[in-house]
Amino acid sequence: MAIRQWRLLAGVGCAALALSACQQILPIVVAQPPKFDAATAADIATAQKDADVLFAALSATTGCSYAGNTAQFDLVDKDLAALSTQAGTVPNNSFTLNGAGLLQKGFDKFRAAAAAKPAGCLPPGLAEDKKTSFDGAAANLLAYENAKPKG
Amino acid sequence: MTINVKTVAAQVLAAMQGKLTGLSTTQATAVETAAGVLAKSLADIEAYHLAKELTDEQASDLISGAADDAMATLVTTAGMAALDLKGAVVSGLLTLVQVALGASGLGWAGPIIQTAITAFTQTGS
Repeated sequence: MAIRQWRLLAGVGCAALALSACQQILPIVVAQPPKFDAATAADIATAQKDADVLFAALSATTGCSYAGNTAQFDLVDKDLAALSTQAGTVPNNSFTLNGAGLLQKGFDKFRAAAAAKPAGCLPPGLAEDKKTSFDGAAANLLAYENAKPKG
Repeated sequence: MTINVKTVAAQVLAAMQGKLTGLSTTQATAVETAAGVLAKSLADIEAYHLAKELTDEQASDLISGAADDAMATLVTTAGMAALDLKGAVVSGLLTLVQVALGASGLGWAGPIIQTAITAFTQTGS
């Protein structure tokens, strides 16, 4: 009887050791999904709002020059930088980080194209196209953020 | 000659889908939307470049930026691997190179889109 109890105890001990080992290994093998971050969601919304103001100005028939809108370009740049910084504070957040980085890269290239002729306006329609693609990316980024587990 | 947006969108979509397997309905919709937006942007850029309202460099920046936006749209679609997505967008752009080069008077677009692809693949996620 005593031997059986010792065997049982030894079995439980081995199981506990194995579980402990699993707990050490599992975090490496199975990364936890990123959690919803309200600050990131707010940053996405802010960037989208400020970008829409910019795209509307660039689409207008007057006041559409790059030179006349550098402050708004700077504001969107600042918003996107803040978004990337905030997204970087959330563990295992690579999809959001990638998305935010690509949104920034795409915006930088759009800005470079507009800045090539500082006193002129981009042809009509191109700012609307940019708004469509920027908003689509931002909306998808926000939808992904909202789909993350809360709490 | 201008690029037909519907034709190009279908070709871009086919090229993207060819690189992505096992898509959910949500993912497939995201790919389809991104392909349509990308195709329209490229067609508009092409038209303005043809009208000499955009320089080569401006057109290249705008095309590259449109590709980045398409990637940003797709990369957050849950379950899609970033590298596969990059391949999909590049594949879509390569299709456009073929369309551009195959159409009369659109030879100019080939090198520009190739430059955008190079920039995209070198600095992608």
